Amino acid sequence: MSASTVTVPAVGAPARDRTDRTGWWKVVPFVVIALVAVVGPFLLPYDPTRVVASASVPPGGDHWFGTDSAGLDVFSRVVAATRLNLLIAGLVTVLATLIGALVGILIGMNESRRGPLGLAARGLSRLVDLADAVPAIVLGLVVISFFGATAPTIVVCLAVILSPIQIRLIRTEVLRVRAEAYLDAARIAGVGEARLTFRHVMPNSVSAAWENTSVVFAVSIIVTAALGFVGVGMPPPTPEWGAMLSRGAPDAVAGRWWSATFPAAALALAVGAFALAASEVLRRRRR
Amino acid sequence: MRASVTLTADKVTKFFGSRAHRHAAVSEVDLTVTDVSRIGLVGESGSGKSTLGRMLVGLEVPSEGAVYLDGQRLDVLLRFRGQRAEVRRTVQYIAQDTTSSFDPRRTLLDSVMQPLLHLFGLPRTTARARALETIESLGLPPAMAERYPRYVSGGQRQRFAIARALVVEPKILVCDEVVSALDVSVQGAILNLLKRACLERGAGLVFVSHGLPATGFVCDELAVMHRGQIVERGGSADVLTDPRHEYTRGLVRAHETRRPVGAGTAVLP
Repeated sequence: MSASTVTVPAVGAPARDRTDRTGWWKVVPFVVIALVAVVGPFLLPYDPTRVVASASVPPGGDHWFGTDSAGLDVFSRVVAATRLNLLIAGLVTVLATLIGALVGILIGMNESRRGPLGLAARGLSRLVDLADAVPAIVLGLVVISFFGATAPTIVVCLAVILSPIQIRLIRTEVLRVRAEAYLDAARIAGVGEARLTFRHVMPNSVSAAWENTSVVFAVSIIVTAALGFVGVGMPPPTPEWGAMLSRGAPDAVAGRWWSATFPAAALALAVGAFALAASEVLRRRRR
Repeated sequence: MRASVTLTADKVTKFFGSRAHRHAAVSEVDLTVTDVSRIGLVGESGSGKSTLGRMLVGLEVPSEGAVYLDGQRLDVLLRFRGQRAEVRRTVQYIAQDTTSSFDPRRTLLDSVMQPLLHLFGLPRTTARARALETIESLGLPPAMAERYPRYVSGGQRQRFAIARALVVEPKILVCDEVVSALDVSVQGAILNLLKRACLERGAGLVFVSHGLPATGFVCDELAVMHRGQIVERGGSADVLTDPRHEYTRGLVRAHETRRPVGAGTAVLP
């Protein structure tokens, strides 16, 4: 039999065992939280932005999580805040990773060049180091105080603040990929530099940043809450976990634990659930 | 036979490192390759043969001197899209590293089709048919082309690399240590394949290797490189049987007296 007639089974993309059901439970908590974010605001017992009872009612039948010092229903506010907090975190993660991919590739592909492009890439790299050296919360405080606390401002500000880690991860990967022989092979095959960058370098350089999205997501939830806590987050009475924590902290000191404890628990649950879900999704992707 | 394409390295020098600590990997080398010549560049590791090979295809730009394709400067031709495609259609290159010479996220067929899509602007279906035809002509099962690079052996990957280069029917093929990473039995098959492919398709060959016998088998001419310079050149048989330069004699002797470590090895000057 000649070699050309031998039939070889085609082996496609990295095999993913679709029958493997183990581990999917890890995604469930985040799916539940996401569902709460989507449908929760339609099922609220009270308007989360209006005074509905007397101040500091403890958890009970009418108000499951009690009311805060202004008489707002804590349960309604915790549920309503899920959408805003997850939306901000999700958008920040996407935007920070996009910025990271573009700037990381720009730096990685050009930093060793001679001439103005190389100089600009090296300058940008130092700027990223500088931005990374300043704590996110401090930068956030300054920028949001300056531009005002609206959801778009917070998203853009946090995305820029959290992008240096993605930029560094992608830059490091680009430096590795840049030395691979398949880039030379693509050049010889007539692929231009722009196409080479976006079709060969980028897909092979973003895996580390992709894996890091769970960290960016968690950090962005925490920083959003921290900005709310220090008083530059979303303006009251917008339901937001950090702002609720900030308003509830003096109550907690006075023994009225519920108005700070429930948003804090929601924050911890959301971060934990996303990390758990991301670890499972990435485990499956890596196989 | 009359040559229709001429690739000439004119006193090319390539420095690496900073200006203060620069090192000449290739120093004032002249070399002419045509579509009817099969030239072997041999020498030990670090002799500059791979750098010279990369300069011949424009992957490295000479620090001094220039490479010319049919009398036109290669680095200038490569700056313009249309002329760059023409250069790539004329001169192709196969790298040593079979593992990293294919994008791990693309199938082998995608990679073999790539030059047809970008250099000839063929529609995908035509490019696919032509790529499969070339793959089959090199003794590879077409179904294997649907695999990702890590699912085939080193020898098979190298055949696909040859297919990727030959699919454009180049006039000159530059092969950089294409058999060094392969085991001896596979080396023989690849060398036969390369020699046959070049003869049948009328392509010139620059075969960069540190293996003298392999190079002598594939090439009519040998150029021996040492410390960035060509120290001897001539017909393969002449260089292998009657080496003139001291370094070449050492190289030939090293291949003849290959023994287990500790049993005494030839020392190169």
